[in-house]
Amino acid sequence: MRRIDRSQLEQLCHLAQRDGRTLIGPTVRDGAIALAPITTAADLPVGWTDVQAPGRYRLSRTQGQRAFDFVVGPNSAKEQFFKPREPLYRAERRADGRVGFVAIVPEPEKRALLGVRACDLAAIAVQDAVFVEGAMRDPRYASRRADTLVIAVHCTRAGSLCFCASMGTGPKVNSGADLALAEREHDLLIEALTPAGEALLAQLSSEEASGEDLRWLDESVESARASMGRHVDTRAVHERLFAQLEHPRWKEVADRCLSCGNCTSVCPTCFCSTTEDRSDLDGSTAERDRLWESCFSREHSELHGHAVRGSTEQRYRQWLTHKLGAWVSQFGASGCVGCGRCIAWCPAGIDLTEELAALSTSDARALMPVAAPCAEEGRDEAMVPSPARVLSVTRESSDVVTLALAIDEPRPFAPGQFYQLSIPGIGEAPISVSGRDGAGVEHTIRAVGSLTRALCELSPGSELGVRGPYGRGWPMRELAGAPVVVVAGGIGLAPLREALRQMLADPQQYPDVRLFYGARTPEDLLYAREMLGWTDRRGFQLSITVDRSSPTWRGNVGVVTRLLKRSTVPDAARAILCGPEVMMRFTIQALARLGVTHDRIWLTMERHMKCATGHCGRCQFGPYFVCKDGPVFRYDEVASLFGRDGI
Amino acid sequence: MPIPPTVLAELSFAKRLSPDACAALAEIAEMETFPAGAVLFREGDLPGGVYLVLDGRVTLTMRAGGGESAVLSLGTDELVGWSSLLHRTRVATATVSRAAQLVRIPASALLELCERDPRVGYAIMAQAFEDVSDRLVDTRMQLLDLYGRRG
Repeated sequence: MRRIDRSQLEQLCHLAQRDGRTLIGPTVRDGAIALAPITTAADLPVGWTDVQAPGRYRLSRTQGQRAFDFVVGPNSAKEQFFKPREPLYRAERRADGRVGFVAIVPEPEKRALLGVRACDLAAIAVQDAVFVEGAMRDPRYASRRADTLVIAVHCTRAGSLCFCASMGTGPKVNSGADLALAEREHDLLIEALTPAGEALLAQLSSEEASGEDLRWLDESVESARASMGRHVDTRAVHERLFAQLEHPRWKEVADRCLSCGNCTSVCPTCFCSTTEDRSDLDGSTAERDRLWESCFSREHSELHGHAVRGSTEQRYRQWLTHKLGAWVSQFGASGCVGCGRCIAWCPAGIDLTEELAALSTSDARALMPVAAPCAEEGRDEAMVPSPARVLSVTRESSDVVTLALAIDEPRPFAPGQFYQLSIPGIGEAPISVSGRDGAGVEHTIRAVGSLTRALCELSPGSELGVRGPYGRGWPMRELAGAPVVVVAGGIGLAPLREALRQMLADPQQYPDVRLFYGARTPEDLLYAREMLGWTDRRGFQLSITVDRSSPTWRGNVGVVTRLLKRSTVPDAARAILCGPEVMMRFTIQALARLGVTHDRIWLTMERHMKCATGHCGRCQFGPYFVCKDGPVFRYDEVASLFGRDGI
Repeated sequence: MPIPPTVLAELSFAKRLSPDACAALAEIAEMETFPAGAVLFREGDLPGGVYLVLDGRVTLTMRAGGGESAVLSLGTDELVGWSSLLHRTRVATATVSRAAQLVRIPASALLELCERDPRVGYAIMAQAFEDVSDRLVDTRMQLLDLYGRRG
């Protein structure tokens, strides 16, 4: 630990900008202390402090000359690495006439962050876990983050909304920085935590800190810890929150919440995003941008035209249960670092700590999965499609077609996985693989929205963008050797078809396969001709039913669960399902009556997928990201949340 | 053709009945075979027989919008014509859609059996209620139009 004179701050700012490094530090801007590019110590908010309360943030003059005499302003380091808006790729017509997709990834940038607090360092670590430490790495975030020099500041005073002590993130800086400062009126204590920090410190004029200095630091940090304006009880908070999904408090807080999304904007860890596609007027180029988005907006909860969380109550519950609950299962750490920004910047003054306390009246706990570290080496996922060409189009019914696609540089896929199909300027959607046809990868698509309609209108030779495959597919290995019951509803047969084909091609591994398939009308049955061809395979049974028909239909009429009720299934049978959620719910009940337990049922949560990498946040389903952890789940993994409204 | 009580006992409809009650039911029941296309009863007909499917398929249709729509098909071990248990006219037309072997029980004799021994009556009505309740749930699901545009 060393001591430097206040005048050395100028030198520190100068050194931090060497080698073309951009210095980001606190400065007074628009009536707040913002983190922004600065060049000199004179840009620091010397003589300013902040006064915070629920729904309130004001700057106030101090009599002193400290530069870090505030707690946290509205913006954190988040926007330095995860940009509020940035382009992902450009699609353009190549010289050879084909569609090309050009990734837009920034060159590695050098940054120095000055004045970052312990809570925000924890937030950076949390965002690193989201964007670069998982199975898929966002190269844009990684590029901006790779070379960051961090000069942090110990908090020697706690704000009225601070609760980092509860969250275990502060007030002292322990890691995540190269240098840590502690500021007094006339001088600063400084400590190097990394070799880069040591090198920088060596170029400052400093003295060894005295025993009294060290005591002052310890006492100040302890006093800050003891005077936190807010407190939360974090013991098993993730399990306690998920046991309170029906608590009346959600409704009460929703009555005050404006759904404005301020809390998520100022939160240093919130990472949800959306995308926008735009094209120029002559259609020769198109670009896709990524933008910050909030789980408080109805649009963010929309998946394939349906708002999963239609009410503010459901969206507030989603935010809080994710931030303090699901995050623990997903990343092994809370998504809340205790900075208090969401309280100060909420126009209604909603206080997260107060809400948590109100929701913690019971000790009931939900069983939550434990976060598992990513088993594989992360790979760059730039969210840029590869060019693909339509080889053939098969019309399955009035609104469903199957496209066989030739994909440039294809990777092998497993049944139940999905691809992201995109048409430049229109959009992108996750679509399950429905099979393989020679060199082509098949996707069966129903025209429901603008993109799927456009996909259904493609003809052989048309070009589109494809990325994938993604996700966890059907558990082919667990199904081997056991009788397999396959239950499909409507278009839900598509993600099951390749699994069926593989099982039928290997009767030794899959000696007993029974397909129960329900569709709306006989005209809506998919793959009818192919299914007829399957019926003479030994060990395969096919039962089909439709919801309604003309009297000329001699087959079954009624729901698919009625077919199940009429049958018996062998002991140890396993079941895989795909269809509308209600159908799957009733199917699970019918299977239970036939003796098929929850741990022998797998289903796909298809409709919850969005960007495929888990980065956009839309595929949240309790403790899971459907895109990464699913879309296929064993039912007992999701049983407590499946079919519940607004999850 | 008379039906052996042992065959009857294997059907869900008789699962709540004692062997004696099952034998009494067999006495009033008959086994009949029908070719595909045979009409068991038509929508609006007066109450008549109650049927249990041993084999084959019966499809229920209703008149709607100038046409006929199939609303449900019934197969092995399922009950056809429950409305006669309530003395009601037929609510749908029942047509054999795949050659069927059925148990036919005249509703009047069945109700008489129920009246004579309320325990048997309760068992039969409880089973019919279970079947009708399953049908109600199915109908609700069909109403939801699961696989329609929002499905």
